[in-house]
Amino acid sequence: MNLNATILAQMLIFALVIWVAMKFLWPEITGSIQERAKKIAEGLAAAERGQKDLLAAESRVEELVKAARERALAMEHQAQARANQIVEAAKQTAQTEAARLLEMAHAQVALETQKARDELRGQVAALAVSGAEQIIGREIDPRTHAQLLDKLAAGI
Amino acid sequence: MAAEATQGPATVTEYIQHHLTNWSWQFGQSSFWTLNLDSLFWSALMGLLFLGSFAIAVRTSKRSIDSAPTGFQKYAEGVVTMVDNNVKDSMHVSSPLIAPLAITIFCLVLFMNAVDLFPVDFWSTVVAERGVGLENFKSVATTDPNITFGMAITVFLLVQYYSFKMKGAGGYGKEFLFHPFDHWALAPFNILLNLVEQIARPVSLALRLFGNMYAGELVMILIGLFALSKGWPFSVGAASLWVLQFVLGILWGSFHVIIVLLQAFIFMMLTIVYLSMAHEHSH
Repeated sequence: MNLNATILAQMLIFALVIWVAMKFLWPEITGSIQERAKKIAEGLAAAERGQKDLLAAESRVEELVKAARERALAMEHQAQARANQIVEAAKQTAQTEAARLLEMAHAQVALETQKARDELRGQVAALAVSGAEQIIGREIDPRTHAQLLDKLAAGI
Repeated sequence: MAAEATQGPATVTEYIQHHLTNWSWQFGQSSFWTLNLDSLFWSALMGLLFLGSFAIAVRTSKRSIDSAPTGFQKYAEGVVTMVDNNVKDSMHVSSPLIAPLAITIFCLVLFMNAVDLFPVDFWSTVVAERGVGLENFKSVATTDPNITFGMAITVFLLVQYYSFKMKGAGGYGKEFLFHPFDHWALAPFNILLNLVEQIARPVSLALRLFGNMYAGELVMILIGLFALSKGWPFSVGAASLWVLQFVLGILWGSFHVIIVLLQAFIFMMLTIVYLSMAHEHSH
């Protein structure tokens, strides 16, 4: 074991290495470690925030769906009522229309009957005259017997 | 080993001496002015290895700040986190020096120790003597007390500097005079005690590392003696010695991994403790 000037040289080397490590390497390495730790923490926080947001969105979606369902139900009810109303109105219209048509038909029938009756009346008069002619065997002057014939026709 | 034997019979003493002699250069009159070039070479090389690997890690981390760390970055940040936690655990004050210092010590000592895990003859005989032509070349820098003392004294000076800086001249002097016995009459005794305590620290720091590594290296060399000058194993006896040397080498090498790590860790931890004590006011 012989101690010599190597000690001094080694002290110099050692001090130099320490100085370089302290000055240039240490801050860089700890800096990058800290930066990454910060980034990881931020990422975790962001993930947690995302989770929370997701939950909030889910509950909001549920709310919206519920509201929509309620509205749809209300609309359905409304539509049902409106349909009933329309059907009711249509029924009413149809009834009045039917009544009107019926009335019109009645009037027509009455008119037709009257016409037929009038026509028949005229024909009966002619028929009666020609029948009487044949029975009597001679011509009856319609002018002279008009009064009689009219009385006859009115009697039919 | 075998290489040794083919070069002519090396005696046990020659073999051991060859492995324990430094490649040195005397540049002054006295023998103190000698540099152990091999130790300094390994020390500087490991320093560069440490700085270089961390520089690569810094570059990769700058390039890919958003992705998970890979390769060198993982190694560097692992070491930094480990040391940082150790520092934070034993310190109550924060200092910009302690953690980088601890990392430098840990990596440097670990790297220098780890050279011990190469086969004993690899660097000294195969590379240096055969390859380069150096007569002596020790590869494990921490088996050189100059290296361990160099580091321990540097740590000691830093501790003194920081205690002076943190406590001021008054506090520093007061602690020297009135600690551990708070009475003016016992001041001389306190001074003596503190001197011993302060000086014992770097000495124990240096000797602990040196002793452990030197002993480990010595056992490696002794294991290397088994098949020394037995030549190529033609006889049963020589062959069994080869096997024995191989098995023992593996066993001791595996155990040595623990020592290599542990000594680096101890050197680092003690440095942290000393420096944190230098920062503390109350005693």
